[in-house]
Amino acid sequence: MQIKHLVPAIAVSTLLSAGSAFAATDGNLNVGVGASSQGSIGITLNVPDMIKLSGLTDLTLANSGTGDYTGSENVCVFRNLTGKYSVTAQSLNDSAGAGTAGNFVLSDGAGSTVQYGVTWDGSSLSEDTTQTGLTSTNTSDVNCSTSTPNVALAVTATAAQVAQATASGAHTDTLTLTIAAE
Amino acid sequence: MLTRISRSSSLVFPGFALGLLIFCSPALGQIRINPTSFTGTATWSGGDISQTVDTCVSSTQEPNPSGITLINYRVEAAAPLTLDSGADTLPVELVWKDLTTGISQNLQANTPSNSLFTGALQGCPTGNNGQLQILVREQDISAVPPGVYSQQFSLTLTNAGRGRPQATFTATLTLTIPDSIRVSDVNDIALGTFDGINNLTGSDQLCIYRASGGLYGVTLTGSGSNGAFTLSAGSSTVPYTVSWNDGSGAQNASAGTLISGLGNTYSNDMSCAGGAADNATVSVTANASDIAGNATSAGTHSGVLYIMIEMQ
Repeated sequence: MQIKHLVPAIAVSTLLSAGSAFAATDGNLNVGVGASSQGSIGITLNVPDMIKLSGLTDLTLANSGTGDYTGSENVCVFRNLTGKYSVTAQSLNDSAGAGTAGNFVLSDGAGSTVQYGVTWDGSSLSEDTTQTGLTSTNTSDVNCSTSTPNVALAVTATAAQVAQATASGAHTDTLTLTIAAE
Repeated sequence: MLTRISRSSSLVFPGFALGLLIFCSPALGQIRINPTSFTGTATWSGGDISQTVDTCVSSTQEPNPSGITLINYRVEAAAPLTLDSGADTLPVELVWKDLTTGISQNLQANTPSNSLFTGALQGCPTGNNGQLQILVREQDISAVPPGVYSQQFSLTLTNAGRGRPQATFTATLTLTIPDSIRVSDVNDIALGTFDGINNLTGSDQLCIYRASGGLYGVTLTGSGSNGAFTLSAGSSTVPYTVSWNDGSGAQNASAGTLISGLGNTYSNDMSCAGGAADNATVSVTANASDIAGNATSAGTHSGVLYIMIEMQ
C-alpha cells in the first residue's frame, strides 16, 4: 500500500507595510584639527508572520509484524515568531469530499478500499478536521536544513482495516496536509 | 524806456552773454571717500564668508550757480578678485552698495560699474552712504586646500565731473581655512521583506569630504542596547551586520569601534558633485537565521545606524 503525493502546504501571512519612521541625516561640516562629522541612516526590515511545512516524502506502508501496516516520517514544521498553528489532513479518496469531515481511505481504483489512521506528533487526526493550538519547536530553520525535522507523521492501517479490502494489489491515497498560522 | 534800454544792452554787450556760458560749463568735480582702506581677517567655520565696510562717499560737482551738485559715481575693482595662497586661488565677489538708494552691483575685475551710486554729500561725515561687501562662497572655499588666503583689493571711484576726479579704496582680507570634514548624501536603507530563506542586504553610497584630502576614520554605532546593531519592533529584536568600504575593499564593522586609515576622501567640494562622486559605501545585512531565530513578532523592525567620521 502506498500513500502518494503528500503535499506540503505553505502559508505566509500578508506582508506588512514597508514604511519607515526614520529619515537619514547628513553630517555637519566641521573644521579644525580632529574634527568629526556624524550622519545617521534609518534601517527597516519587514518580518512577516511565516509558516512552512516541508520534508514530506511518499510513504509505503509495511507490515509491522502485528498485522498492522504502518508508515512514518519526520516532517519539518517551521513557524517563526511564537504563534500557534493548526493542521488539517484531507484524503483524496474520501467520499465526503474536501471540506467535509470523512475518512482516510486507500483505494485500488476499482472499488476496493481500506481506511487508515493518521497521527501528527503523536496525536490522532480526523479527516478534514482542523486541529488547532499546536506549537512548533522550530522557529528559526525554515527547511530544517540544520536541524532535525520536528514533527512525527505516522499512517497506520490496522489489520482489521486492511481486512476490509476486497481486492489484492496496491491501494493508494493522496494525503494533503495543511498547516496554518494562528 | 527802461525796457528798450535793456534790449539795447543785450545787443550791445554780447560778451556778457558769452561770459555766462563759460560760467555755466561743468565745474571741477570732486570725489572723496572715508575711510580709504579696510583690513579684515576671518577663519572659516562653514558657510559663506562675508565682510562689509561702510564708507562715506562725497561725489560732487562744484561750484555752479545753483550751488554744489551731487553727481553719481562708479566703482572699478582692479584684478585679481581672488584670495591667494601660493598657487591656490579662491574666487571672491566684491559688491558695492549705495546705502542711500539700496542699489548694489557686483563688481567685475577691471570693469567700471554703472554710474549708479549717489554721493550723498549730506551723509558725510555724519553718515555712511556706500558699502563694500567682500563675499567668499562656501562652495568655493570647500574646493580649495586648507591654508591662509589673502589679497589686497584696489577700488577706484570716479564721477563724471570735469577732471574725472578719482578716489581710491583698498580692502585687504586674510582668510584662514582650516581642514574640514563632512559625511553627506546619507540615505535610509530598506532591507525589504524577509522571505524566510534569504539574507537581506542593503547599502548606501556616501560622500566623505575632507578639505585636505587626508585620511579618515569611521565609527559605526547602532541604536540597540549599548550601541548594538539591532532592528527592533517592540521587544522583538533582530541583529544585523555592517561593513564599510572606502573603495579599497569592505571591512566588517563592530559597533562603536573605530575603523582607521580610510582614504579616498573627496576634496573638490563637500557634496561630492551632488553625489556623482560618492566615495564610500556602507552595507548592512540581516542574516536569515538571525531574523528567523530572533524576531518574536511580525512587522516592521527598524533601527538607526550612526556614522561618525573623523580626521586622521
